[in-house]
Amino acid sequence: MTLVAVGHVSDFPSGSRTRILVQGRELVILNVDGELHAVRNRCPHQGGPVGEGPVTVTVRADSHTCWDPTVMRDMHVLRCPWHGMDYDLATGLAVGNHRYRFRVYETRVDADGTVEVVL
Amino acid sequence: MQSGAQKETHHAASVASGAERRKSACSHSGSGYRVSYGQHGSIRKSPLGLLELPPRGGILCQTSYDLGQGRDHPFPVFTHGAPRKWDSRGRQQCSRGSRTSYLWRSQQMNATPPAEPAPTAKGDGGPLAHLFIADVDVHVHDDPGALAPYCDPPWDDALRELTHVHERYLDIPGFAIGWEGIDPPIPGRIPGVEDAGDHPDWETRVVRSADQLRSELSALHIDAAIVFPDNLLTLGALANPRYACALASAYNRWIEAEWLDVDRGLHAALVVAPHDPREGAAEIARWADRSGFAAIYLPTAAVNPPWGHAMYDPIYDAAQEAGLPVVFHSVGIIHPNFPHNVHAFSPAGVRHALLHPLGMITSLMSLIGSGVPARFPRLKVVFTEGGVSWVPFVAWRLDREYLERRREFPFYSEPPSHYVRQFFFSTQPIEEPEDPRLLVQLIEACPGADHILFASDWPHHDFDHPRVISRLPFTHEQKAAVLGETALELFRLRSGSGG
Repeated sequence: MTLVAVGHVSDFPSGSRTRILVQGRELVILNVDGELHAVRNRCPHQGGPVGEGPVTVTVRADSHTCWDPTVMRDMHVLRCPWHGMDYDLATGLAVGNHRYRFRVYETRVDADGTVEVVL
Repeated sequence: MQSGAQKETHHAASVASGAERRKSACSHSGSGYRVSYGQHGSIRKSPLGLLELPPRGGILCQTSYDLGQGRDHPFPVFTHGAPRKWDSRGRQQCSRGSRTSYLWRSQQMNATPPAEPAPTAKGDGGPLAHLFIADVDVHVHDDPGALAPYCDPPWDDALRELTHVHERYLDIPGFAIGWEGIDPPIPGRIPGVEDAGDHPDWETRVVRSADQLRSELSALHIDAAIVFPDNLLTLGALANPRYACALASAYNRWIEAEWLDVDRGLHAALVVAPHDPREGAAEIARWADRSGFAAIYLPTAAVNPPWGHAMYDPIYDAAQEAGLPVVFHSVGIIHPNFPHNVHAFSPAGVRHALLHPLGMITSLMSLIGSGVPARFPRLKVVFTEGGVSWVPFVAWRLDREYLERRREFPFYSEPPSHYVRQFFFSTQPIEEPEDPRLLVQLIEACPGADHILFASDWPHHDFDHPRVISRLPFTHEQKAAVLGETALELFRLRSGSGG
């Protein structure tokens, strides 16, 4: 496990999206509703810049929703700008498709406000 | 079941006369399909695999089919051994020496075969002899006269009226809407030369009784089968929903009364008219407990909206509750509804090659699009008479779309190919690539050999012998599964070879 400092928490205000290069890997730090997410900026599908896609919601239809498509507001979804693949921002798993998963990294904020990414 | 000694005696009596006829026929025939004449007889199968079909009542030509046992080619070769003609009035001319007889094609199709003892099955050994073989698609001839006694009024009178209508293959105005007569007849029927015409009689081969069916299936090594209609393949093209539902009910009563015989391996698929799904669900509930109804036949030709539409949910719900698989079956008719709007395609072979798999693809896409496999997780779905090589193509296309448009498929937790692999697909008309390994690779890619079912489509012109499976480079276990074991479990069939 390697901790890499990527900046101060004030560098990543809510709603921001910051591209950084860490040990040769391009990451994107996203602040979504005050929560920091670090993701590899490479879609496992065809290599698109997934970290630059919109953070949005997706829909679900199952017996709990009486099979009506329902917006899933409990999940932040990162949508790849190349082909529109939806990924669960928390896990990196493609929504409804376990064949694809992009790298998400744990982030930590020190007492002094330093943001570190766990590689 | 007959004893082995009985089987041998039965065969021995037939081989001598059969051999003589074959010898005579070979004098003016290249190989394969031969014509012989004479008295009515039951099907006989010689040790060489020569199957001789009984003549239909009133038919003066007796045909025999060399099913290619011991040959290099996996399929029967149909070459006509005697000149024959259809004259301008639609009559078939059969010549035997100086004798010429005429037979109306409609009479040929409406004739009643003589009752004959069933032949033995699997008596000639060979790779198929020790396998349980289930055929998930055979056809019986449901002409209007057959259904009339079983039909509710006023439609029973309509069917009696239709007995006076000239019958063409899957094409009876007011009953079986085919629209197939858009190509010119192919000239070139030269006396003494193989009949290269557009309507050889093997295109009008029909099965009219349970005894006949059992006999013919036994000669094909088939132990158990699921019966489908001939003419009601076009049920979806009928415009009057009350009439369509009445025909479906009449057919099911007819099947129950005259065809079901699980002790002899004869099962059937319930016919459900797509026109009124609630009535279809009631029809399923009416027959669900009747032993022998092993599946529910859903016609795909001309059906609009396609089968994924929510209006059909009552049918799927009833099928799921009854534990009966639904079987989608197409037919090559011309109709304004997609994908049957092929009126600009010629010749018929192109339309036929296009329509069967496209009918399956259309139905499968529609089911996937509306979440049927997720919404009815216990529903078993079968696609028949489209071949199998299109399945991975469709699965991969859907997966690609799903990648980009997952939001349009909110029912699923896995890509569509996951659900396609839960469906079952029957083999006929099986693709025959030069390298059969390619076909096996495609099958293993999707849906997997464990979801492939053998179907012959007997007695139709493009039928497949079980040999098409035994000759593929499957493992022995895969062959056994495809030829029967999977169907046995899926449809809860019973074997009845030869009865």
